[in-house]
Amino acid sequence: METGRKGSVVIALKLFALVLFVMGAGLWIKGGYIFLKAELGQYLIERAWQHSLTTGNEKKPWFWADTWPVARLWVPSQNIHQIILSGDSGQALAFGPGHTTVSAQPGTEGLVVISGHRDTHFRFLQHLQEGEQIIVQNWEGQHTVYRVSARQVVDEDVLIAGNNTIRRLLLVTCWPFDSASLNSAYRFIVQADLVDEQFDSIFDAEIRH
Amino acid sequence: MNAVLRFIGITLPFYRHVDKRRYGLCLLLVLVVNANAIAAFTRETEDRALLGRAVLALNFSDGRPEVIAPQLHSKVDIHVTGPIARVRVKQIFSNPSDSWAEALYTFPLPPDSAVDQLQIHLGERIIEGEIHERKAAQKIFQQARQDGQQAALVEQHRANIFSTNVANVPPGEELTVVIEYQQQVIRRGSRFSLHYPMSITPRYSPRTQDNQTGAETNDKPLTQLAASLPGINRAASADISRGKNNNATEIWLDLQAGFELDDVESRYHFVSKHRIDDSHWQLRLHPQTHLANADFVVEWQGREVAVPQAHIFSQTFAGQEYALLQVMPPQVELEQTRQPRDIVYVIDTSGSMGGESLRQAKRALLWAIDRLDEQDRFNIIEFNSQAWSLFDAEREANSQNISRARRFVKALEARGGTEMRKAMDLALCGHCVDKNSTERMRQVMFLTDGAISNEATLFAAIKRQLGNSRLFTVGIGSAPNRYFMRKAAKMGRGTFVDIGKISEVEEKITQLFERIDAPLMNDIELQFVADNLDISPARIPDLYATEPLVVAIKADDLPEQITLQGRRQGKVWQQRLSLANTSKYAGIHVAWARKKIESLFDDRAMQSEGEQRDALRHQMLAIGLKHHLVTPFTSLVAVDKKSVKPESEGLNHHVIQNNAPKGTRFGLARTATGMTYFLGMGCVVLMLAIGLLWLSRCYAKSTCPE
Repeated sequence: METGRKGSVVIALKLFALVLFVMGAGLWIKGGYIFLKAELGQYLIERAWQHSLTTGNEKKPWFWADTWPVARLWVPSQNIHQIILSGDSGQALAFGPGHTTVSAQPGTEGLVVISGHRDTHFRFLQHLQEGEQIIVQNWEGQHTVYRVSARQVVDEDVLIAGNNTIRRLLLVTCWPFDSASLNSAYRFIVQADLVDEQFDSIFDAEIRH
Repeated sequence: MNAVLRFIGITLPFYRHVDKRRYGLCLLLVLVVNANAIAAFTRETEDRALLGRAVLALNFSDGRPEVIAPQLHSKVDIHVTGPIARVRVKQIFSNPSDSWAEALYTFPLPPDSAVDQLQIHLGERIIEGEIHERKAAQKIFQQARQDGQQAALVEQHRANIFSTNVANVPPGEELTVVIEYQQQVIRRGSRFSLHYPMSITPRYSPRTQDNQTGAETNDKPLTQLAASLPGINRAASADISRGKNNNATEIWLDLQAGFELDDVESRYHFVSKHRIDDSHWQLRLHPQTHLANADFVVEWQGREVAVPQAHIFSQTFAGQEYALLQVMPPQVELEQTRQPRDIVYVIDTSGSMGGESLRQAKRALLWAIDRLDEQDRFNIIEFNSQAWSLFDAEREANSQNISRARRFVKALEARGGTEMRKAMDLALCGHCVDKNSTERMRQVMFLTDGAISNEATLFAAIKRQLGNSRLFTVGIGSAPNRYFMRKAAKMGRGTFVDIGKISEVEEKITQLFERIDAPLMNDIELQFVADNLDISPARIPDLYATEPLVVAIKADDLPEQITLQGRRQGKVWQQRLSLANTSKYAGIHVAWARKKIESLFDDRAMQSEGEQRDALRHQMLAIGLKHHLVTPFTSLVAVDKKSVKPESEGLNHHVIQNNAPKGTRFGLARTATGMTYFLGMGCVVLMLAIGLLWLSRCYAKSTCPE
């Protein structure tokens, strides 16, 4: 009687452990998939970007993609090179930072807004200091140099007013950086103002190296 | 963690009675269930603590401590009597901070509004505003500000943009400014409409300003208006705003149409309606049901037979007689032979059109293209910082060209500035009309939000380059620059429509097409004899179908009868109007003065010689002072005699922001992934599995520690 009960408890515990193992592995695979998408995505996107730079046409990184590269982000101080995708929907952000399509186009007059995930592409934003340079290359190959002028934490429900009279870049990610939750009620915003444009010759040379 | 402790606390008395191992298992289960909640809880408290610090450390405002800005809410009473609306706007500035405050609020009003009253309400006391020349009014206001007196100043910056300055609002108290203006109801057939704007679309100022034609008060960018005022505490970053209501607005409308109505509706807001009788309605817009970020538009439909064809009001003011006429020419069926025409669509794709506005414009344009006739020729011009056209010249509207145009329109994106002049030059090329379009109508249709600040330059360009083209404007978005739409269409001898919602696109574009097929009447004149006669507008524009003729008359002695003459489809047409038994109305002289100033201002914009400009300025100044009217050269100022602020106290300056127009702001993307969460939870679950495995093993061998 005693051993029989003991045996069934042991089996139940083992079954429970097995279920937990499967769940744990599932969670790891899910997390790993996000990481792989973010890393591998940039690879494929890089190819599409090179293609669109040389041909001047937008090209999707893979044929079923619903986004395409629109610009390249370069932060020398953080050694960051990233390709920016069109749109800030979840599908686009999984593969790279996304450009909010209703904001100004990269490289043109106006307020350019780029968002990225805090735990993958835009993790580096937390290390960005005021005065550091951010360079954006648009699909026409033109470079725009911005300098970080301010950083701020805001509520997620703030609204950004489109402004076509200034030249400014906003990089947006979730905040706090080390939080593990799926959603966040706050956003970390890096504001960078235009320094100068038309450095093309210098930067082209540097990028090629 | 609390839950676990509570669990232990509750169950401890029973500890002795139960199997220790089972108790351990239960505790483990409770721990598993709670692990998540605990993790989340501790994270949240940490975050909150950190957030406080981070906000302070990372605030955009340049080191200055945050100040609590005065709050503004508005109460608007609109009284409509026939074709005239009298509007009373109560702006209540409350100062929740501990220090004395002054505030600047820049706000939109309808393009034809004539502000003629200003009051400050201080509890029971009412202080009446006085009209002064702009500079003098500023001086009076500054003096009162320094002397610690409560004061308000109302100025006009553009035809449809005004500002209120208030000084010395005591800490924790309110200051109420009451402004009154008069405007005319817009009539289309037997349908009437009235707008009350609540937001301003940020304007674009071209880099190179043509100062030759622009009036000095008219071409200043709005952003500079606020910046040019000394010591103003401007928001360091105007791009980011909270999704809150900056200006709670309550609107109460008393509509006495003067004839039976079939229908009264508010186009974009939910209102409560109260019908008093067939011709008298009351509407109320509750401040909590809307963000003041879109124009309030009310429309009413008169019962077909009941609506009079002419509204005539008159008044005697300062020894002179004034009359306001709104006459609807009989709407006889036009000949159905449609002439082939050349039509040029101009679409604004500047940054301010981004989002909802561009979607509306694209839909309107696609709908317009579909309505083209085989014999028509067309072209599309897109402009932002540059302007370019689809075809090199107008092309036939065959299926191939139309499908090309559709592709072109669908690919349009909003970006860059609003260099409307370049598009205007492309669209209104006077010479190209003569070359190959004899006997064809040439129409130019502008689809834009009019977010520009160089209106005067553009009007001058239209007047110069119009040739025999006609210009039509389609106002896009929730807060289009109505002054520009209306005026550009007037200068271009065309007409205008507004589209405020995407669902109205088809209806409004169809209406416009019906209206513009041919002008109903042109070469309109008023014939009568009177001393010191003045008719405004001096040149009466062409009338299109369903449009009424609106003129204001001033004379020493009005005759009993006047004759209205015009040409309808080439034939002379006349109508006699009796001025003998007109309704009396108090604000008719204001209506005349407003129209007069508008036409003088247009004349002035065309003038380049300093002397003539000066003469026109003096004329406007005199009219403004005589009729108690806020103009670009005259302002209303009200000052309380009592000085309330002690000299030792400082004064905080604030700029009250308008809510950004609906659809021009965008929210932030979701930028968290579950990566860390999934990996972390995976770890926790795997550890638990290992723990359970170990437990089952030791349980089987009965070697678990007690």
